[in-house]
Amino acid sequence: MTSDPIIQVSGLSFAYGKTPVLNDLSFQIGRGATGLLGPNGAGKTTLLKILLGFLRPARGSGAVLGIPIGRRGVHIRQRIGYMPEHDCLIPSLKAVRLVAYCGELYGLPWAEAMQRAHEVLFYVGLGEARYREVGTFSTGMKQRIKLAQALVASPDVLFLDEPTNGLDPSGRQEMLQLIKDVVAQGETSVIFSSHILHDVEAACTDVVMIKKGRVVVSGKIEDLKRVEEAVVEVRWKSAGDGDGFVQALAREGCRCEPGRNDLLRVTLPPGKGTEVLFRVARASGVQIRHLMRKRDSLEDVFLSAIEEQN
Amino acid sequence: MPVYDQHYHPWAGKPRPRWHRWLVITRYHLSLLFTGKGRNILILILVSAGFIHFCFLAYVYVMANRQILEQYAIPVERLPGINARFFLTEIIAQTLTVAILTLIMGAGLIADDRRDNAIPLYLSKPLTVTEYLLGKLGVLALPILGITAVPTLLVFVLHWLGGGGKEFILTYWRLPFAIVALSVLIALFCGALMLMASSLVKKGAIAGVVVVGLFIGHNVLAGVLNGIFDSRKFMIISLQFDFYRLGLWLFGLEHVQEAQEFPFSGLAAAGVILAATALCWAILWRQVRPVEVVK
Repeated sequence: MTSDPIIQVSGLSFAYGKTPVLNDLSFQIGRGATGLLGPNGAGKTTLLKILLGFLRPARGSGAVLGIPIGRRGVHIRQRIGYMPEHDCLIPSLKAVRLVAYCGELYGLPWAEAMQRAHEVLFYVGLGEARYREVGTFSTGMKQRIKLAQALVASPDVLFLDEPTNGLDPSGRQEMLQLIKDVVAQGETSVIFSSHILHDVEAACTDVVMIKKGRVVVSGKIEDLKRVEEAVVEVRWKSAGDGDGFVQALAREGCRCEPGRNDLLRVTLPPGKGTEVLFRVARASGVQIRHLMRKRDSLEDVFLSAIEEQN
Repeated sequence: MPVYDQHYHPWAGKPRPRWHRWLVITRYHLSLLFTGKGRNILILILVSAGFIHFCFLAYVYVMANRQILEQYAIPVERLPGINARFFLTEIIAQTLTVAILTLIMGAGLIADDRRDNAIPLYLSKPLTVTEYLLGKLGVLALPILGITAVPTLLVFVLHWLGGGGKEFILTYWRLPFAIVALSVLIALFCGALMLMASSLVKKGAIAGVVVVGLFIGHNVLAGVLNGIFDSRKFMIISLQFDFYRLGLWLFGLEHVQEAQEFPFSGLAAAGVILAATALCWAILWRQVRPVEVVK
């Protein structure tokens, strides 16, 4: 994290009635793209609503862009674009009118809001649909216009709540590309709340993982995805069925288990390197076509963090 | 469809000050109403309101040019004069128009946002709940003032300049304030009542039914209580009577027999109206939230 956090929360707790949602939550988020990751019901949306000033925390404090949360919600919202998870659009309005209206609510003068609405609608890929009523839009188009209305006033921070929900694979890729592009400009930071690990991994550099209202792990994704020296993934080819190769590896003390994409995941015995593999392969008449040290995916990191918490 | 045709360009302008952002909501709704399907009905209502004022204006003109009446042998001295009662009547004559306008323009103001789940869309912008409600209230209050205070003041000024002269303005200098005060109270109450009903439901039509029901219901209640207790004291429950009583008080007509017949003062009527308006606002405050909190 950078020394100048855009979001800082400390000991934040919140409950809906008697149901606790956030429990002594503390973390910092720096500039750039940060994923807010957690299973459904983890408290991600509630956290965003507290940061926006919609809800008041029972305990704890926090600040967004240096502005304390709580009573100064309006000042925070002036600098934030929020893309809600649920459908919240006015269906009878034309797309360009809706985005311009949102721009005016941010304080843009009418003419500039209208010009800006055209720009951001082109940017999110709705240029051809600017004059269509929002009610006629598909789910993917609605997600795009929600992003457009959040971007219209050039916020310092974008809160995206499940932005890839309901999108088909190509729509999802396009949305992730848009988010990466916004961040790449360097003016806007993104908080990407999602339960889809691959999306967060694709669009963000940092992550805060939440489960049951607690932070289970946070940091740079690259740092969290550690390389495991003792585990390698192997693809091999043999004239026969190759069972002899796997059995020979087991006799050498290696633990073999099927991995992803037809790879064999081999855990090397302590003190031994990959030379064991090549020796056994040569003896078994097997060609090794691919060998790579295993790197934890974000999913692995998440699952192990949750296991540790449990 | 392309993903995007251009890169993201941040907006470099300076936002306008916050104090008038509620006006954006008012302007947007008014432009929607006057460009939407119901435009012709609204125009018809406004024209009918204008016609009533035109009749009052014509009366002022005729009274300023008495020779017209004398030509037709109409006894001028037997006609009502242009006084406080005249201007109160001009405002009271708009009651039905105000009611219809409120129902047509206000029924969906918050109900539609609730139906579309759009309240968080507004409140995720730099707007408070008060500003959101003020914006919605403006949609009703501005047209109501436009058909009550503005034309009545215009008729007042035209009479003063046309035939009333110095004597008229010295006698009735309080009237412009009374016209504005009564009109503002009507606009505030009608707006708050309609918005309150609109915030309780997700369909504008139902909100309209709620308001009509409340209007009829509370008048029936006042009548029943008057009947049971054989007293006129319960007239104070009826907001219709309260507004009339308040009008008599504000326009300085305390001495007329009608005012004497009311079993409550103009101040008490104002108290009831303000309390009812405050109740509507309290319910509105409870209903309009950026998130629906499940307990």
